[in-house]
Amino acid sequence: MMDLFGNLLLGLGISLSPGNLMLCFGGVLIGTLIGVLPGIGPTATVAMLLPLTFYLPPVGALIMLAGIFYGSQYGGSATAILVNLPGESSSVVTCLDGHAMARQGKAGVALATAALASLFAGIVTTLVIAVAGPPLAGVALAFGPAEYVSLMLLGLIGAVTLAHGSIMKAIAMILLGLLLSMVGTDVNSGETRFTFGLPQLYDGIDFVPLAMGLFGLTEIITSLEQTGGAGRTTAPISTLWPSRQDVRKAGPAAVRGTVLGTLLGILPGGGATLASFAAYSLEKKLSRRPDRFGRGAIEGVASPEAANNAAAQACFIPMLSLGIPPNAIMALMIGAMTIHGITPGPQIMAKQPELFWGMIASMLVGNVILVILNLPMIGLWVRLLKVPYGYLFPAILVFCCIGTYTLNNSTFNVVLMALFGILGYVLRKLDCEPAPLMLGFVLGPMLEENLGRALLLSGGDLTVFATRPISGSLLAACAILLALMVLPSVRRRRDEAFKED
Amino acid sequence: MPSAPLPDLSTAPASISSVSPPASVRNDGAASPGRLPGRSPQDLAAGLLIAAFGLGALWMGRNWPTGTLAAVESGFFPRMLGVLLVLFGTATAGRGLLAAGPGLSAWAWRPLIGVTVAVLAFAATLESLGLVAAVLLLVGLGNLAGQPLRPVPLLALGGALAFGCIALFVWGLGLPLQVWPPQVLP
Repeated sequence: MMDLFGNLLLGLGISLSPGNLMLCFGGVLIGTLIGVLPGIGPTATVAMLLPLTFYLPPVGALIMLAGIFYGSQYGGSATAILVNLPGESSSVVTCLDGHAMARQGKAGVALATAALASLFAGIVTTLVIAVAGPPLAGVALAFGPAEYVSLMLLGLIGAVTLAHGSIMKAIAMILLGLLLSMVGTDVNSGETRFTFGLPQLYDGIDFVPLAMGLFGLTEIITSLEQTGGAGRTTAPISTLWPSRQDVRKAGPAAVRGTVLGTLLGILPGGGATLASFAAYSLEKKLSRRPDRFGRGAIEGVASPEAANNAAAQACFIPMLSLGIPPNAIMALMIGAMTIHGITPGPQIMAKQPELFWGMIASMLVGNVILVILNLPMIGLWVRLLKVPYGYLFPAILVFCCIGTYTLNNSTFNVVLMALFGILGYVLRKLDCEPAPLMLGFVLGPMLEENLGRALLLSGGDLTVFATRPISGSLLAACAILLALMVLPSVRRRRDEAFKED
Repeated sequence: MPSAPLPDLSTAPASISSVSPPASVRNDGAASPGRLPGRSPQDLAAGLLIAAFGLGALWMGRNWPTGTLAAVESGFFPRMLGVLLVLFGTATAGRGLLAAGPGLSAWAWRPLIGVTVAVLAFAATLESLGLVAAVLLLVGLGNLAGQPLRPVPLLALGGALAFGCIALFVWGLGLPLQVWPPQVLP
């Protein structure tokens, strides 16, 4: 226990240093700024803002990225409440009661509730990460290649089950991501694969043009398609502070949401969406007057927002301690670490404690900054929402282009980004999700390496994955997840959970 | 976290001509045009695309050594992925032929082409004409992807963005970017 506090103090010392505090503040501010823009979810925001962190020291870069992530998450909730437009599926539920409150003139209360519930969830989850991370990393140190293969499979299959839409298509997207990660020179044989003879591809596809194209450009194209560059109508804001009655209702709801979100968030697949939906239905079940939901019930804002934030942050646990990203945003984080020459995994905690604990402590700091920053600035975000998209998207476009170029000073990467923008749009039109693709892309090299190594160690014996105890149980978990998905009753309930209306 | 396109929940009006109705509206009911009853063109197209990627991978990797299970070589993983992609693609396409599902929604060609061309133009001109020209070109062409702004606001926006880029990336971060065409400033 003392160890934990010592470590947290070490982390706080790092994250409260003036430079890092500024970065955290800047990240939260810019993240909220971009995240507030209609239709741009946290994944797209983090992808677009990645280049800002290229030139920072690794700790600072990760602190800033984490700040961008919370900011964009909160910005998305603000858009959901004010304009009834969710930036990502995890804030769909917030729209229901949040926007209903806004229409009753209680937009300020809804925004404040969302911020405070997220703050509470964020603090609790940060402590959970600090407690659960090290033991989990200890377990991970005992992992051999076979265990890693099974763990990655579990993560990928978890991502599929929690994605919405067709499971077959989601698996195909993972495979496509794995395939894209094969491009370049094979580390073992030195042979080039899928390079089309282009020397620019010998080092493989860079992660930034892929993420920017699939998420950034596709997002711009889709937003233009949906709104054509017109502005959105926003709800007016009057009172900001929740009344005492509001607090009495919202407080317990936020606690329940936090617990649910943390539990669901640790699961592979990163259940922020699932968590917010589950929290909403739990509140509705517990309420004595379920008919109020959908008409501005404050519990319907507090609980899903807390769950959403708790789950989103709990995703850091598998990412930091195992080096396995449970969802697309964590895949982006791992990509950012790789750019800075950090190999994510259990060894980070032992070898670079200042990085690990600095980042965890900065989550505490970031969540506090988020609330301090946002309560007075709600009016500004409302005004930002009125800026016509015709002015905003060229700015975003410029930022994406220069950001991608500066990664390697290569215009080839900009061309790649344009191509992935087209691919992303085509995939959206075919209802194939880009998030599993991103996961596959990040895990590809690790999966190939560990698969080859596990087979080498076992002399080509495929049963090794099932007979080693940890690996076997992970595979059994995969099988159970897949089997559950095929059961008609579970399928129906999953379809209901992801029904967006 | 899934970030798939979400149905537009707002009441904002869709305005420009190339805007297509949301997919959910278009594909409701078996009687909608562009869709055969009992089939899903969307799944069919997705499946064919996935299978095509798989076939492409298999073809490109046709001569790569796969090695043995005990010592896999560089061709093993790509071939495995190719086979799996073909399998899943065929299954998705098959379901698209047999089971009912959504049709293909209209494509927003204007935003797609506008954004792509603008980005490609930026890539083509950045190193030869410099940052300012490339940003102006990017903003000018990108503007055509949405509801075009009038010339004066457009120029103001382009100028502000070009200045902002120089301030942030050249003066602020000190990146070695070519700002002006080489002829203007030697």
